[in-house]
Amino acid sequence: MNFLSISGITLAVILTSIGLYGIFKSRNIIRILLSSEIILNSSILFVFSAGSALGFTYTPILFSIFVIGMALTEVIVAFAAIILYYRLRGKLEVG
Amino acid sequence: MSLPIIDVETPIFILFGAFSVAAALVIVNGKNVFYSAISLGVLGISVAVLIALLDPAAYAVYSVLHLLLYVGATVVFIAISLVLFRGLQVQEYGVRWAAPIATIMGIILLAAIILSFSSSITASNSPIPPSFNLSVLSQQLLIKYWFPTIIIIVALATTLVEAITLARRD
Repeated sequence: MNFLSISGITLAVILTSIGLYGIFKSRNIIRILLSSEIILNSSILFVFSAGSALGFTYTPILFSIFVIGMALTEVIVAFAAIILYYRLRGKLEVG
Repeated sequence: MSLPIIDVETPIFILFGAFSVAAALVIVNGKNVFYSAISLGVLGISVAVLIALLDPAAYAVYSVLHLLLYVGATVVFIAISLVLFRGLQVQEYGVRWAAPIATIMGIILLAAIILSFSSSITASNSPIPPSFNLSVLSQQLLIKYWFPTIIIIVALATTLVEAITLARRD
């Protein structure tokens, strides 16, 4: 394992913790969605760092292509739900 | 007298790592959600640069894809959609247990990664990555992983229909 791989994995863990903090802390739906996007980015960074450390070339790329596609779908569906929630309640806070 | 060889990748990696952490903190702590969405774009760009620095020969293709598809489509979509809402100032309720819980979960995650990697590294001592070939990647995508590819295509087509339906609804 080289320095960049170890740094990438450590950075991914830090970003995941920040994303979890955002999810736990906020009650705003959009903030929660954005915090989940931080975790998504950190997971992609982790997969590439681990792939670089273990010598995988194609697996991280294929995995991340599927993850990015599903993330795009998830964001659009989530925003549809948020728009409907906002029309019904007139606010973006939950709980 | 020979000049010392300066590794350019490591300082750039540290710089963009700091950018990504700062952008994530702005996303979590920003007062206005629109600026948080803009910071998500900065985070996406930083992650793309970090991925490219890990192995430029193999991962540069995905780095470009990340910039185009994630930053160019997803983040811009979020930022434009936020214009639809009024009152984007976020009220914070001061949840005290959020920071300790997130820290503990991060430590557990790091410990799990170290444990799993210690066994993997002993199994494969010095990995030599094969050279990158774009045609091999597309073959794997269309032949070996054809089913997930179809699922992604169907999901994206479904969201297109959903977006049109939402846009036409009063």
